[in-house]
Amino acid sequence: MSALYHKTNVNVSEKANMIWNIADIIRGTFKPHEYGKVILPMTVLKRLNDTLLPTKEKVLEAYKEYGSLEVNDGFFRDASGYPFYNTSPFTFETLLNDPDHIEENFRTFMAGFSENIQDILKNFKFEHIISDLVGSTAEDDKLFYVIQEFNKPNSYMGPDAISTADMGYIFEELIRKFSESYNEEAGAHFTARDIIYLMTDLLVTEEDAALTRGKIDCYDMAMGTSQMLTCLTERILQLDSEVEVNVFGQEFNPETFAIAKADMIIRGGIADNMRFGDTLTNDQFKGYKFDYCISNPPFGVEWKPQKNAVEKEHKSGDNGRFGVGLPKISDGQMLFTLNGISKLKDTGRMAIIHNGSPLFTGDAGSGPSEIRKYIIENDWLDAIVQLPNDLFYNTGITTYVWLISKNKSDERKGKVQLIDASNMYEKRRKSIGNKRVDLSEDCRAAIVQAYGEFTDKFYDYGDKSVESKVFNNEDFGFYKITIESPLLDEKGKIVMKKGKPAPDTSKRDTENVPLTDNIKNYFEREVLPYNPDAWVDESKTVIGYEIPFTRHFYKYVAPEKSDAIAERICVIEAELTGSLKSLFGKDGE
Amino acid sequence: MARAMKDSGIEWIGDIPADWNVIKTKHLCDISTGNQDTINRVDGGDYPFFIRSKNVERINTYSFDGEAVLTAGDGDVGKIFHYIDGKFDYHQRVYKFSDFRSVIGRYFYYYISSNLIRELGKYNAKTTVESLRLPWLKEFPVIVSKIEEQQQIAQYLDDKVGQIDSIIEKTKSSIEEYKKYKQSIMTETVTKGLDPTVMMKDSGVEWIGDIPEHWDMVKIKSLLYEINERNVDENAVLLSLFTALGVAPRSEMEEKGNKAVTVINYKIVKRGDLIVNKLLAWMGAIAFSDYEGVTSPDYDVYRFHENAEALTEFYEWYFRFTKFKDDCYKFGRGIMMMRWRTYPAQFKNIYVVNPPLEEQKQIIDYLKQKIADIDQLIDKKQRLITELESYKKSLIYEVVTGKKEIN
Repeated sequence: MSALYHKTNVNVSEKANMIWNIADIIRGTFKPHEYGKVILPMTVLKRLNDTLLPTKEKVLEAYKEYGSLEVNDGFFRDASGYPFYNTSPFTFETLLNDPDHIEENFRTFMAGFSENIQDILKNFKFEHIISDLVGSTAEDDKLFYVIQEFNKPNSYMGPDAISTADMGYIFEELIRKFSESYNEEAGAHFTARDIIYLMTDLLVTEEDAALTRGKIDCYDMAMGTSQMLTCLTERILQLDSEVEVNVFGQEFNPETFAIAKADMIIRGGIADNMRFGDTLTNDQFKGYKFDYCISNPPFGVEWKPQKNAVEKEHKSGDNGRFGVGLPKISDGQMLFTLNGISKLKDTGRMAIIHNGSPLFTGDAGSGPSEIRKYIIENDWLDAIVQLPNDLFYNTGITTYVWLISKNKSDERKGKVQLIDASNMYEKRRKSIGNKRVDLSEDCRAAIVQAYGEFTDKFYDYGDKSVESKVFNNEDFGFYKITIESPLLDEKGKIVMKKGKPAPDTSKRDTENVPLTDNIKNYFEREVLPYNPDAWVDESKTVIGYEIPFTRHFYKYVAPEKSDAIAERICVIEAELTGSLKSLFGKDGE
Repeated sequence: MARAMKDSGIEWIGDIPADWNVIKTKHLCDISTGNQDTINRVDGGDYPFFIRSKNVERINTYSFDGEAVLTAGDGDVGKIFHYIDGKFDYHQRVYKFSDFRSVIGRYFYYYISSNLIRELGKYNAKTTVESLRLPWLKEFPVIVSKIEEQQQIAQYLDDKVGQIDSIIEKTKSSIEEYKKYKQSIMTETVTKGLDPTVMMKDSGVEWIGDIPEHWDMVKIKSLLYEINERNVDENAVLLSLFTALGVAPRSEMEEKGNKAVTVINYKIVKRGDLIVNKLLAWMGAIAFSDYEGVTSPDYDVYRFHENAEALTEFYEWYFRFTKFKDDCYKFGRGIMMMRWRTYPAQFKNIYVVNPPLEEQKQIIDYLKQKIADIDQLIDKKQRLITELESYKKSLIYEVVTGKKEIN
């Protein structure tokens, strides 16, 4: 594969534009947000076609010899020199020689590809796309013209002209065009680049010891088109070009999965590590451990369809991923958090995006609170960064990057850093769907700096700002205590049971006592003065955890003193009297 | 000294100076519409962009460079006018008058903005007209005097209208200041009391700052307890909670009919109970009820403990008119502002001031008088603005029709 890496000097965006513009042919037949469904698979096919041209004869010979054998995959791989091959006699060029049978021949051409490529085409539903391209009348038939465009000399994509790295960038650019054409629907599958770059910068810091390991495994449990993995790889190689980066990803949307896998093939990576299926119910990476996990799982999506399998795994306790607790059925975000944590090495780190609810949802003792407790008491919660609103394609809500670290640096042990970056963004001139702001390079640098300095500080950048606060793990915990009041009989006397006052359950109340406080002191200070007969039922005490982000960063704006306002009013009144006089004065009459 | 007048032939104008003329608009200028749509606007664009509203947008293209008057072709017809001298672009349903002949732009602007609506009224009994038609606009009669006189009139009106607008602006800003003053006085009085010489101590709550030393800070739950009694009476009075008004029966606030939902199982509210809309508490949706009735089961209802040293009116001021809502925000939670809830668990634990009962009473009495005084002042200011607007309209009309001589 290394042969594919030799450097070429292709203008990536020019090439990507040229390819994307082929969509002009299919205008009308396909809507703009569907162009990618044709352009992306065709680009993959053309890249493979051109890559395989030099060894085409060899493969066909091998096919003649071994085609009838039951297990023959290896022979063809050897012949092609790549982990993929095509045993059909056709190439893009020969397809064009027979315009009358173009559809039939093209389908034969596709059927000639190796299993791993078939998998991509199947998930792209490319068989259907071809039918749509062909249309119902000869006049509608666009297939020939699309193939013709892809076979023009400047559409040549062989590795001798475009290196694997450059082809990767070109494909990425096409995916970006595709995702942006989707607008609001896009966010379900695409996380904007600026967000990903911030995540990778926070996840892989320069000091990160992981970089001395020589081999780094990265994982995305909801990878979409796998852009996060691509950026993470880039980030790691940027810090240490010698290291070997392996990426693993799972995705349950067939089309985006196909893009991810195609992307991997084009990059010359191990496509088999891109796997299809539902991470919650059909984990493709059981028993794997990773150095880094990066993910943007869906926010606020119910997990009813996965309920049976997830609950079963929950009941199996430590044998599964969800033994700690289960979130509300209406929102599966924290299941992904648990999945990611279960797959981190003892030195592993994770960056995961959530909306606000995992910070506070659920009372003490509930699933979400237990999950927070598990993460914080294990000292794995490293930092949480609040991002600006209006950053995602499909939602304007407030989002947070959670950084989980299984092996915090000494300085960070026992601590959690909260960073409010909600005011650190550049406005876009033109919005894409809900995305109205960007995290520019400067914005990212400011946030990463605040993370790195790990101290209580307000970073003032004029109209922008970042604020960092460092807390102890215990600061987020509390005892939920149950306060009982005595039951009174008709005469107003306390009813006794077994020598103790019986509780009046209608007066039962609860109080949250910070872990850093003392239950007894708290009770005497906050409860007894108002309810002298009350007592704490200690058997009911539960520990809960929550992260009140808003409370910690809330900025109170002091109102002006009334005297100052009164003074100003007097000045305005005096001016007014003068103005009225001059308006209605003699000159005006 | 009366100048010689003649009949203009236009009903809504009547007599005009004898040496003035009535000329159709088409003879005085060119009229055309733009070719842009509102969506083409660009924030921070290079040129003004006139759409069918009072607000002027920005855009990066221009289709005209020079002096022009613009008016909306539909929407608020006859009410929106702009004058410009420079590069700009305009909406496809905005009319542009330009390339003036025998009339100067500023004069034309005053004339048409004052009189177009009168001419429209002639044709249409309705107070609003849906759209302006070009043939009609072309025929619109304009009273024109000599250029020098027009210049004098335009100069005079620029000066006077400028003065009036500036007074209106100042009056508006003084009203804003009075409102702020009111807010400030309310907050200061309920948190500091009436005696400025008393010893103070830190309240521990940011927005409150210092309080008199003999006052207490207490958790809401030591004054109020949550009640959840459910209604079984189909005819119970449904109470609504309004940020601006407090609690009022729904029937008083809405047109009749519309009684869609059953009030069975709604929460019972007694006179003097506190209603909190947990979803909008951070916006100030919290108030005591003067009524017996029921309210939405989504709201929280609280009642004073029997022995609570608290006057309903005092806490009504405290909860509704101070920065208390900031506390509701601070202790609230949600994934977005539209879903920002202040749950009872947090609400009950917010600290509030608790002055002695006698002082609560004094504070209420003082504030009632003070606020009534300020409101009266604000009301007078608002009347002043209305009068000034009428004065401006009349002045322009009288001057451009020659009924008022300016020299």
